[in-house]
Amino acid sequence: MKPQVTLRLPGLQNDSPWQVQEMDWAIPGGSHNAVISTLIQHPQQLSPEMIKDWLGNTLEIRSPAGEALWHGWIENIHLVLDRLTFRWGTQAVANRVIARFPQVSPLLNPLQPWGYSEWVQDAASCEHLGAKEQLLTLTQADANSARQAAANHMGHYVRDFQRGLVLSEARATPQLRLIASGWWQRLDWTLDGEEGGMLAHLPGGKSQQPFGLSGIERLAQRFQVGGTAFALGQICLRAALIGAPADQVRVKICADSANRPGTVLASATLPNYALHGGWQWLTWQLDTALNLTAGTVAWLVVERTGGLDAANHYALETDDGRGYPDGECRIWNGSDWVLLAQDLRFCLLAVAQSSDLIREVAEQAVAGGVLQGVQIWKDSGMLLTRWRALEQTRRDVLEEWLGLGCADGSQLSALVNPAGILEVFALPRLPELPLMLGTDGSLHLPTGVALPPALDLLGRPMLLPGSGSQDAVILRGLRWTEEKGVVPVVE
Amino acid sequence: MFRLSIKINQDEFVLHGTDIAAPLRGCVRQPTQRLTSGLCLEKLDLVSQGTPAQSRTLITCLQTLIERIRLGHPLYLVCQPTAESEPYQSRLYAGDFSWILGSVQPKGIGIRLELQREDYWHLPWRALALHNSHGSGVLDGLQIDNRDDNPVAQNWCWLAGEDLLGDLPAPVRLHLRHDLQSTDSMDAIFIGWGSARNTPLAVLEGEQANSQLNFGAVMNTDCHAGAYGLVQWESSAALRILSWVLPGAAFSGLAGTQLRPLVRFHNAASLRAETWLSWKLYHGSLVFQSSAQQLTVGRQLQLLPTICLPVLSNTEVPWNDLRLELLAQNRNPGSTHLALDAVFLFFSDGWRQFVALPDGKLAYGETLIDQSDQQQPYIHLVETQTNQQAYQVLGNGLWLVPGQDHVLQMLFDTGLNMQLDPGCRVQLEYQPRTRMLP
Repeated sequence: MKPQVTLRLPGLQNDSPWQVQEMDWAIPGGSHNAVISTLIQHPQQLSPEMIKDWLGNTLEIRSPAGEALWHGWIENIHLVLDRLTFRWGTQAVANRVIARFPQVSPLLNPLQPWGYSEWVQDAASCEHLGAKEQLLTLTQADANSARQAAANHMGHYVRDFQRGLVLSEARATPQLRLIASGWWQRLDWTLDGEEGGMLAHLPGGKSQQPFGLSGIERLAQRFQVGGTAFALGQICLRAALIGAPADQVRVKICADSANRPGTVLASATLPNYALHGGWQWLTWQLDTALNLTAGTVAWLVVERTGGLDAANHYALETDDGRGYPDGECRIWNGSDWVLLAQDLRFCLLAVAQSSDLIREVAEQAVAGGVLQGVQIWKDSGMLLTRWRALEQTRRDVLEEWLGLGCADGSQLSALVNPAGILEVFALPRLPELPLMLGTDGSLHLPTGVALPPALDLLGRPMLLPGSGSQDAVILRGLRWTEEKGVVPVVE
Repeated sequence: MFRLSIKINQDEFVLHGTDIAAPLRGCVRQPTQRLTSGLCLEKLDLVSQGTPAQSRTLITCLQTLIERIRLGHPLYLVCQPTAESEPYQSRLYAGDFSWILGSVQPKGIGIRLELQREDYWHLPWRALALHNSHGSGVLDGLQIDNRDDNPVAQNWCWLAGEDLLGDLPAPVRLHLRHDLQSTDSMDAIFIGWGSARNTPLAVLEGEQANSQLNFGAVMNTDCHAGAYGLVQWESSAALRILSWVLPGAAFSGLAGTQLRPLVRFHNAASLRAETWLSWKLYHGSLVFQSSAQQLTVGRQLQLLPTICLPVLSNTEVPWNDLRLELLAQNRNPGSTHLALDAVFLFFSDGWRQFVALPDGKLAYGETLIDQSDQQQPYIHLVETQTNQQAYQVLGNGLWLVPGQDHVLQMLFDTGLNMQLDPGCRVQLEYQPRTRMLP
């Protein structure tokens, strides 16, 4: 098989064909790396500026019959001129930068110990190359100095394409070598974060409110869902033991009934061993997510499961300052819900299936032009919080979520198909037709059918020589070279 | 060797034979040497007899030739073995020359010219005789239809292998003239190429499929063979929606090969974007399963995943029939209608898929010219006698294997629609190749 290269490099006038040196594929992701090269007949026509403009361009490699084998983008370019090899690459480039710095008080937010500067970006570079984001972590800074640090960093690295110059012993014919990466790797260019999915009132903390004793039996905090639906999965409160209560603490979500807690919609109980005398953020997890429509008004009610006890009870941190603007706090005194001039410090977190989160992140990549679509073939059933701090890249979070697998125990993986659509599927793929590995390292199908393109083979079961179907392994990597053809990559 | 020269565009520098110019008197061609680079090394001993000024002119001329080769200009070594034979050409990639030791004499000097050339010789382009229902042995453009549902309309043609020249696979040059009935511009164009075949596989009609779902044949004169198959379902599970029995006799000669299926949908506008299609092929048991491909809403003619055919060790015994299943899966449940008109199974021994570049098209009266060993096809404008680019091409090209019949299959659309009635004219040329000169 002689793979064919589809590539547009403005300004390059060359009669020599592109030769594919190697390609490899892996899951998750699909197309991973490829190396192609061509002899250069007129090296004097090339300029560094022209070559740098090619970085990030699309590369497609197809079979003789026109089927897509490998697709991605140019990450590195090597120009070999006699004994010198010039290298350019995108690894160090950063044209959109944000910096984070430690919060003044990490107690303020149970989930977010960092403050963030504004984004700083070079619009022209983002337009030409695509946004390549970077997060700076500063140990001592404030918002202003963090922004300045981000601006300085971007100014230094926005055009940092030069990756090196190598002097070889041997002379070589002038040639261009392109090293390309798949679209999955391009997801590393963008940081992932989700500001939605959290409904909270975090200020305060110098006041506390006990409950579980006579006259203060329960506490209730009214809250209101924002402009989008909220699948409530976790409830966080900052609590402590007073004395040594032995019972448990129950949190209920109740409908609003004439500005009082009404029908119980959901509840969760935290076992006693999870509580202790010091103040801490505690999390109650709902067994199933509670779907609250946009604008819903509801109540968060906290109570103990045992009897009232003035010596052994619980306390929650509150805010006696400006308070929560969208609700109020009330105390059940045994006969009525009495208004309290404070608000609870609370944090409600929405959850979603990891497969839904994958879809959302992939759709953002579609909007950014990196992917062309997303197709989830297998719902994971694994609930994860929707809110995420800006910390990891899109590729990192996708790989983390895929690694969690499914609630039914099956493995989850994904690849970018030849049309650029991210497909998420359970492993193994196409289990009815396992691949067979020969003792010479070759792959084949038992019916003698020609091997489909590598992207179709990834994730399939592979029978090892001399073993049965129960010992089949999942094919997770493939590599092609002209000498060996397609061979599996077995770790 | 009757005549030897180097050709630069329309000019020739004669090394041996007629039209040779002073001071050259001829040359001796040493045995050709194969290089590890894949090229061949020609060693030519030139004999020069002339004045010092003529010799200087000759050396200057040779230096210019060598430099032009180095710069990548298209220069060819042209050899005519006998007075009766045609001249053969071979592209030059590098060269050098030096004095032959001891040959500098008052009567003349010897020069060793070393040229690295392609490892084959080729003859000039020549037309191929094409056959189908519209003509036999047609050299200057044979009508190809966009349908194959009656004895008159054929979306294919074939050529006989017995008279083909050369002993190596040879590239085919395609001239596709859009000058028949329709004035709509052609958009996507698909060409399949089968070697050692002279007929295509029968078209799979949608209305003749089998289905366990809500299925029926619907008569419609706008469709291939006058009807389409309408299948409806609700589920989001992967379902076998249609199947066909393929006669084993037609497929046994294709063992181990791959077919590229082009499908025409009648209800392209109402397809669901979330519908994915795939194939399963049974030959007794399941022998092949393709990946799934998302449907393109609105497009009538769509290329679906490749179908790989199995092999059987005993090639003498005919094949039993095969069963081809079309599977569909939706992301979400919901009423889904698929009106499948026909499935055209294209050979893939050669493949050309012309994808229109932005604003690109093949307008009425224009000719698309594609040469198999080049990446970029172009359009010839008859009125202005100029060329322009409009298409990107995928596939390894159409290559002739001497001695074998070949069949060419073609389908095209005009954008979202695939009209059945229009046709076009196809002319094929080839460039015979040989390793050794006769």
